[in-house]
Amino acid sequence: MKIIEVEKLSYSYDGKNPALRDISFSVEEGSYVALIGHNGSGKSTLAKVLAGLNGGFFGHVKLFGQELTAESLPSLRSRMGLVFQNPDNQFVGASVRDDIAFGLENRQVPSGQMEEIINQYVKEVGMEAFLDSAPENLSGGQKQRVAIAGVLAMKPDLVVFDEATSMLDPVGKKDILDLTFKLRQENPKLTVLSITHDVEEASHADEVLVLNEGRLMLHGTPKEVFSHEHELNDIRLSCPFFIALVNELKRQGVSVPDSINNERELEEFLCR
Amino acid sequence: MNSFAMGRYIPYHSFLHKMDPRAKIFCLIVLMVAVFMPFVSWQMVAVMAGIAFLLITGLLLASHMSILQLLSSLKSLWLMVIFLLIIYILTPRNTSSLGVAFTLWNYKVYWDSFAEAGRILVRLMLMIELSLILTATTKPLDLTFALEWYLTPLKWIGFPSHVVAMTITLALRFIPTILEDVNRIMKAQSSRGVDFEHGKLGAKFRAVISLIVPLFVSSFIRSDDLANAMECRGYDPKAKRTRYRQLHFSWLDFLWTVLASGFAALFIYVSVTHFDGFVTWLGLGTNLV
Amino acid sequence: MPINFSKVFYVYNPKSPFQYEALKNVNLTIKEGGFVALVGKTGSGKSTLISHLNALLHPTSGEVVIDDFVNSAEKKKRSRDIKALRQKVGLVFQFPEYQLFEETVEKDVAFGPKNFGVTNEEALKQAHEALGVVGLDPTFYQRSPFELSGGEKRKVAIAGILAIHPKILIVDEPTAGLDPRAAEETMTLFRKIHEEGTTIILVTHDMNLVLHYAEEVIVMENGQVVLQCHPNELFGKDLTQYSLEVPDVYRFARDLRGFGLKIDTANLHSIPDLAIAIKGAYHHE
Repeated sequence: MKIIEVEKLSYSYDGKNPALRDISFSVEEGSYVALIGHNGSGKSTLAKVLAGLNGGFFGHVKLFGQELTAESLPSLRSRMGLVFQNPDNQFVGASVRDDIAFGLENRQVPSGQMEEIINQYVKEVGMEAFLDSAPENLSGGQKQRVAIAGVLAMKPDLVVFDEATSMLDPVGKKDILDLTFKLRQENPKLTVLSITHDVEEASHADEVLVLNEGRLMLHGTPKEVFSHEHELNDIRLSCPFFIALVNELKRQGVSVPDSINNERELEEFLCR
Repeated sequence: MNSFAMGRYIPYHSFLHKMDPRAKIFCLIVLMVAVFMPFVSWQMVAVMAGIAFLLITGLLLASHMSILQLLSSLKSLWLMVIFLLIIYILTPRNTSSLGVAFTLWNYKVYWDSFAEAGRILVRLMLMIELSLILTATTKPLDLTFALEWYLTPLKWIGFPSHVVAMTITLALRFIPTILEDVNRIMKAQSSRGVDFEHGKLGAKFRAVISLIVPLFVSSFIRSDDLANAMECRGYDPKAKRTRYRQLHFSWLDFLWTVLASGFAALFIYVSVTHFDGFVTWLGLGTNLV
Repeated sequence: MPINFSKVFYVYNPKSPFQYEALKNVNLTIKEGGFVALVGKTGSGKSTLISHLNALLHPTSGEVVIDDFVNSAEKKKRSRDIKALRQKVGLVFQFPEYQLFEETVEKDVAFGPKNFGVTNEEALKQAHEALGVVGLDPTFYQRSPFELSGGEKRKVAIAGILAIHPKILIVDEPTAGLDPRAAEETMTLFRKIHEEGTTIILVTHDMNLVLHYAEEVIVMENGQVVLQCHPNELFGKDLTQYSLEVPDVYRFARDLRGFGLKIDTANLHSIPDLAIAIKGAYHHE
């Protein structure tokens, strides 16, 4: 089933300058899609449209097969979780417990059931030692993990990461990426849309969408997309290390067969 | 932060800490009423004040506040009391029940002035102690819950008490974060040559602006982001929500409430009936002028 | 303007339950005119260390000398003119766009120079110059800093420090949150400023930046300086002991070595270097 279907989506904040132009794409259930673009390309705007935070768009947006409208929004929101960029500005509770409970309270989960749910999901993200910690005593990566726990507690079908790692240090980034990987393994039906400008991160996705100046410029597998090194550089993006190296090797006259898909395979090829 | 800061929550396991915050607020209000009751004679004032003082200070110490902390929080009072004393001394009086204390250059200074200033001092001290008992033994979040509970009836006339409670809860959660922002902005502006401590009025004003404006901007951005996040997590201020943290009354809360009410009732009775019994019983009769 | 740390200790919240020793016996010399990277995992003491360089913090014990300014634990020995120090040592914090506050871009950039006693006219001139250096043209001068994009705001904030013409420029995670091109532009800017004679101290977690731009790297761990050497020397070691990431080219080269391909890592700074090295190794086979 198509979890996200976007058809000729256009959006403008002020009615004059379009932030999104004529975007069409779809995301299959269970896939991991990366949406990349330089800062200002419209990727956060697109995330907000999907989250129902930017209404008044032109075109069609369907989530879980249903048209996104003001009426359908509450029920669609219950199936979707968002993790935003700033770890502090989405941490509502006075402690980790209270923050995870916030979402449960909103959905009117009976108070008696909350403790168990909180304990379950705080373990999923590895934060059980910090249940009573206040946000000011947590690192960025830890706060994002709590945000993810809060999202998971709602048992969503779709999780959208809106630049969720861009304010984190390398340890934090790795934490979140590892956690994403683990979640997808445990729950193959979970669809993940990751909005980022980190091309290394995007290289692990099943599919990559490239946004530039509000338009969808490229899409395909990471290999397909990142083979357009020049176009990507022109729109202020870079290539993942592995692909940049392959391109450089080719320039130096060392030929690399197309069947090579990642660093490991490249290493084995070079050392045969 | 100053570890002696007034009003800070002091973690401990006293009975006061375990008490339901709603009952605590009720008891404290009721005790404050007792403290403000007028009595018929100075001797009665002294006796009742003594009782109240022992009780309330005892409670405060039971909440694990050290005497040092208590004294430091009362420091600010002395100046005001001396000021009041001078005013009472200088106020011309027609009658006196306690007689002349001493005479200064033909001006009679009566004991009454000292007694009046003393009564204000004791009342203030007791009020501060009662407030300290509340804030030292109750987590800010629990205070907010209690406040929300008390404001619930107002919902029926359209007052959004749960929204107010959520606002207060969020504000409390963000205080440390915003303090960090202040720290960061001050360091950044200091690095640009701003001196927050010295300088003429004009320079200090510009220094404050360079702190306040970025702080406001970042706080607005925070609230915008927060509102979006809350909305995405299904928050609807108008909708019904369940509550994770539950407050439970126990029989102990009931007991303390009854005791506090009884104590206050005693004070009210003594005050209203102009009771003077203790005085003769304790043999504290005086020669009234 | 050499920088010298001598037996420096720094303790946060001394004599309280929150006491924390952030710097433990730091002894360090940074030469004039270098491009130095300061690395270490979060909590290793980097921010505390750089705060001593413009006297935001005074050592709990020991002494930091920056050129002729003595930042000593003892008040008596401490130099007085902190303002002069802050004109010489420019500090750009992480996410510096949060410090913007003036009505217009040019006023905000001129704020720094004005604080150091420059006339209004001269300050504006220096502001315009600095804005040119970071790549913002005159159309930006009158705009409100708050209506700019994140990347543009960052440029304004950096210009704000460049306008005071510091001799030492300290930048803390300057590329955090920037897209790849903006990150490259920012680092190229610092390289240019360095070539013009400014000492640059780069605090970062990104080892690829260290490899690509720094001449020297200082590694901190647990409040102490554990290593000070050339980047290539650092990356030749086992970095897990310092909880540091390995730059991509080194990681790859090391893996290749593990497979038996002899790659010379002495001069690896970038992907082209690596590709050439691989080609070179091939020709030896």
